[in-house]
Amino acid sequence: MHESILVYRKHRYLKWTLALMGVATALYILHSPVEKPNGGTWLGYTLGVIAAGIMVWLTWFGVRKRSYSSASTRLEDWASAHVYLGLSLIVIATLHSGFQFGLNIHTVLYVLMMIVIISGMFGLYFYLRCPYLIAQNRRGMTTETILAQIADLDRELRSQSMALDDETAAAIADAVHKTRIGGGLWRQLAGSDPSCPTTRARKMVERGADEELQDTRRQILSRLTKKEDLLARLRRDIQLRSLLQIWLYIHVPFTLGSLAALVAHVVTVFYYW
Amino acid sequence: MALLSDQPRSATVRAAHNTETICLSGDAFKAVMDKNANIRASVEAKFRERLRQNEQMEERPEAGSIIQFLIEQGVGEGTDVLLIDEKLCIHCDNCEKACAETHNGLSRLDREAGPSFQSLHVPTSCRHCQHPHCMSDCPPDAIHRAPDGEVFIDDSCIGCGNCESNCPYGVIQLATLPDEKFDLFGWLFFGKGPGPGEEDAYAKVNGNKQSAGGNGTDGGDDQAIKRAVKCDMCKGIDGGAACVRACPTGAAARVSPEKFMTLAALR
Repeated sequence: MHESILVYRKHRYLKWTLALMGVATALYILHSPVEKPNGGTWLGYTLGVIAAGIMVWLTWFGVRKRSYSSASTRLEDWASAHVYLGLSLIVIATLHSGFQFGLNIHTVLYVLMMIVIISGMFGLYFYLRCPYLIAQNRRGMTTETILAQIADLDRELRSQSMALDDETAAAIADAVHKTRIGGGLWRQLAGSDPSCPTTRARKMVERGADEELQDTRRQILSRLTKKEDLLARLRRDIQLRSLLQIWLYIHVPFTLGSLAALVAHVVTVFYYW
Repeated sequence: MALLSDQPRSATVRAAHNTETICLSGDAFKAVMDKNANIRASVEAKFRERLRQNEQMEERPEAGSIIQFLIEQGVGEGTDVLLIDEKLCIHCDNCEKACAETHNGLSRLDREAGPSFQSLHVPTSCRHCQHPHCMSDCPPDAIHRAPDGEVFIDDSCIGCGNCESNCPYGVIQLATLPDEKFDLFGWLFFGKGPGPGEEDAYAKVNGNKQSAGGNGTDGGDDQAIKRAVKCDMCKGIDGGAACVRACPTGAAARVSPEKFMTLAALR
């Protein structure tokens, strides 16, 4: 039924990956080349070919994800294998390098690949953690429902604020018209707005002291507090949904960069062979 | 259970939809089982499974409230219901895009719309009811049930909208025929047609709705002939429901009511 990519098909792809890494490590330990272990030995070439194949296959995930009519396997198969095989590159590529690093195109490829893997780890964490937090934060409501409720509150606040003094009414008008949700990257990731006009208006209404309008103030205060709560949920929702995407802005470009570096690495190796 | 255990019947049953019931006597039932070893083995396996489920349900009384929620949403009268686990859903909308891509650019499900309970979400999508409300008043008799259970609308639909009005779950929409879709590389390299999951492709539903439930932009053509569209469970498409196949995290699953107990016990 519902099954996370980590445990998918009883950890099938974890088992395959562990087997692959186990065999590679065992061969590396048993292998004793004339020189130091490096990418030019028979084992080095074998591990290099495997690592390059895995890299190309992992990149193909972007195409497979958009092949909606593909009936071969479920996308979850690909995603689960993508996670585990991606992690296996840490071992395979490192053994392929023979732990030799320097200021050259080969190490550039290694660094780019590690950036892709580490960004992928963040992505995996966000994919496993954020959906639960989003569901918890929304409490069964959709974005549209929350926005509709805010619009209703704004309508009521507009009509009630007319009874108050000019300064407070202006603050409530600001709360209605100038409250912003979302925006630029940092604002989305912040999940809050320290200068939110709704909070300012709520504080101003709290400070009000005229006895005659206590009931109206109480009602406005209740609506502003409710709106603040809805805004907080909406901003938190945007923050969590941004986290689900932001890692891709590193993962995808660096994937393409590492593919380019892979081509350069292969060409260089054979050119100087 | 009582037929096999010789104990007084203890379960209370409430039908979720129109149901025919029959009365079985324990002696007759056992006589049939004695004559057929296969039937006996099958019934006894079911008996053990039910016992295990009962124990799990007793340990977790909250599982009962999940089933109660599902029944309240009317999914009890369905035969195949799309359920989304909110703890796994990454809101990528790949399910909607896959639905649109495999149905001429028209998505028949709205992932976000619909109620949720204990992180279980019932999106706006056809449940393929046992007694479909949509079938009850279709002038050209265009709505049918396929041998595998899926309820679908054939090309003789005249777009009268009766099925849309009769469906209590709002999963049928009237839509004009969408733009021609090209494959990924045709769009990527030659700019042909709308891209994968692009709104232009399915912005014509009901004049201003994007998909079942509707959350798209204005792009309708009021003069064009509309047809009723709904989930057909990807009838005729290899591999089964595209929405489930395209979910990268395993959040989307199609579940029949018989499996609600298992679903509730697993959560």
